[in-house]
Amino acid sequence: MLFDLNAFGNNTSTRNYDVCISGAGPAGITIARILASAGKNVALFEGGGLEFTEASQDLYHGKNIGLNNWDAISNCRLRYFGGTSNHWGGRCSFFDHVDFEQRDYFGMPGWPDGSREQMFKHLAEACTIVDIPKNIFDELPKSHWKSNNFRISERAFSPPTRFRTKYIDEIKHSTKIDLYLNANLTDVRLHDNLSSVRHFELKNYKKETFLFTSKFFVLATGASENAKLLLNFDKQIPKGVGNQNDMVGRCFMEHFNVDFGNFIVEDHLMWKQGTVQFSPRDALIRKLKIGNAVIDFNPNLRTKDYGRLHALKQSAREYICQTEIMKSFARQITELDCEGDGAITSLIEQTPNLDSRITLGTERDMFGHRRVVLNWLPSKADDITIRTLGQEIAKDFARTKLARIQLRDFVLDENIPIKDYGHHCHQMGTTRMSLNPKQGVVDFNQRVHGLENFYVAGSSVFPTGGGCNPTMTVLMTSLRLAKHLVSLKN
Amino acid sequence: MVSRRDFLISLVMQPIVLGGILSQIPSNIRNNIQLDNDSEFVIINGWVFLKSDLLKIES
Repeated sequence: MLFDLNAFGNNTSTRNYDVCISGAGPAGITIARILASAGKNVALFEGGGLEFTEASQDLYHGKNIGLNNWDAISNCRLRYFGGTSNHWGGRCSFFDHVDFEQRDYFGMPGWPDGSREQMFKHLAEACTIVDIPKNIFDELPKSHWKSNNFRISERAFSPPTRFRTKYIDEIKHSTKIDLYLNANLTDVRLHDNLSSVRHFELKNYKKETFLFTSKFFVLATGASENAKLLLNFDKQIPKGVGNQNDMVGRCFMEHFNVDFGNFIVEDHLMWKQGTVQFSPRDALIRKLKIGNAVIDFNPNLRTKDYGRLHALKQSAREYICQTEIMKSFARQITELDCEGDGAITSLIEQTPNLDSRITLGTERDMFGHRRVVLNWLPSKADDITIRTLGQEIAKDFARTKLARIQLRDFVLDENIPIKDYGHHCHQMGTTRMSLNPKQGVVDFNQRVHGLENFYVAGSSVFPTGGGCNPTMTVLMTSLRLAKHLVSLKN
Repeated sequence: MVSRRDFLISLVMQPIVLGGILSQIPSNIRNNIQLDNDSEFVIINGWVFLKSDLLKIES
């Protein structure tokens, strides 16, 4: 069923469900659907409507005091039904084995033991959700190129799936899911002993207040808003809900997009397919103590050549193109050698860094919540990862005669600062998972430490971000959480 | 299946690329080379070469 909280008027009686979920993006919708299929009554709250509105989006606005002049909070996210899937690019990949290992050089614990096995039980179901074949990752890209240090990255492309269009009819007609639009979570009210959640407090855009109760509560509003809300829920716990150890908002992570330089192709066969992505092998990551990554090599179709080659080609063109018959041949020659130089972009893992964090400013939004202040910071370990990856892949390509890479000066010289880290709109890690409450906000089952019935979903629970796009991991962890909730009696 | 044309292009491209890169580098920079720590590589103007490649080109 579909309800608009703006049209609820005086209907303020408390409503009761099995599970209340705040946030109707990929995580929230996925959890709601699984719970409904198991017979649970679910209230799904979306702060926006079915379409984009400035009023809803404005609630994301915050201040950036960290890297770059980047309004990440409000530009990367979409606050209406379907969430950020409404502008998702569709690239799907998943964590490698090494991403689940404890890497001491990261300084913070990673995913708890057993996470990989638990998560990958749900890979096939996640593939179905984003409309890619279940076995698409079974067949690795085939190539004659071999390297002990790097591999061609596995990836797949969703159409991309827009959760809004794919699931709105199913949810509208569901007898188990009540979707409330324009329903902004403004507080969680705890029982007197502060050990569990009693109500979700929701407000519409008229600032009318409604209470909902359930056995379990899930916060799935995205990495920045999850932290913002928990820190703002300070009426009963002054430091904020789940923030007894000052961990909410910490370890904000992105994927760096660093331009390493450019390259000239050598192995013609390899580059015929266009852009090729490479990842460091797990053994190289362990050996060099670096983060994971995907490095994109994009051959440029503009003809660009150098020195003797340029002079040779120019002379040939001028001579050959004088006759009509030879023009087509000239074009073929141009096509043959048009690999030219290409651009190198990257998606690089950021180490969990306590100082890279979301806090609250003094400015308030329409519901009185303090707005987000984002301090996105790389660490020395991140700089080492960036420089090491750039140097190693350049050596590897020279060694295997795949391409010649010209590295930017900051890659070769650690005394030259990295000026442009770039980003991917992959916000992660503000309510990180950790078995130790002092190093995280949620436990292995994504339950907020210290609260019996309050869970967090989405990329905010990632303790590390891996070297891949996060959507598949968001879905797999959400599927796991949903099935965990189904298995609980009360 | 690798076509004959692709195979021939691959054979021809490697020396052309290396020669092209080297010829565009001014001689003062070209002389100012950086040796990589493991000395298997030479870095000239940011370009990363195998030492053995350069020996082939220069000869």
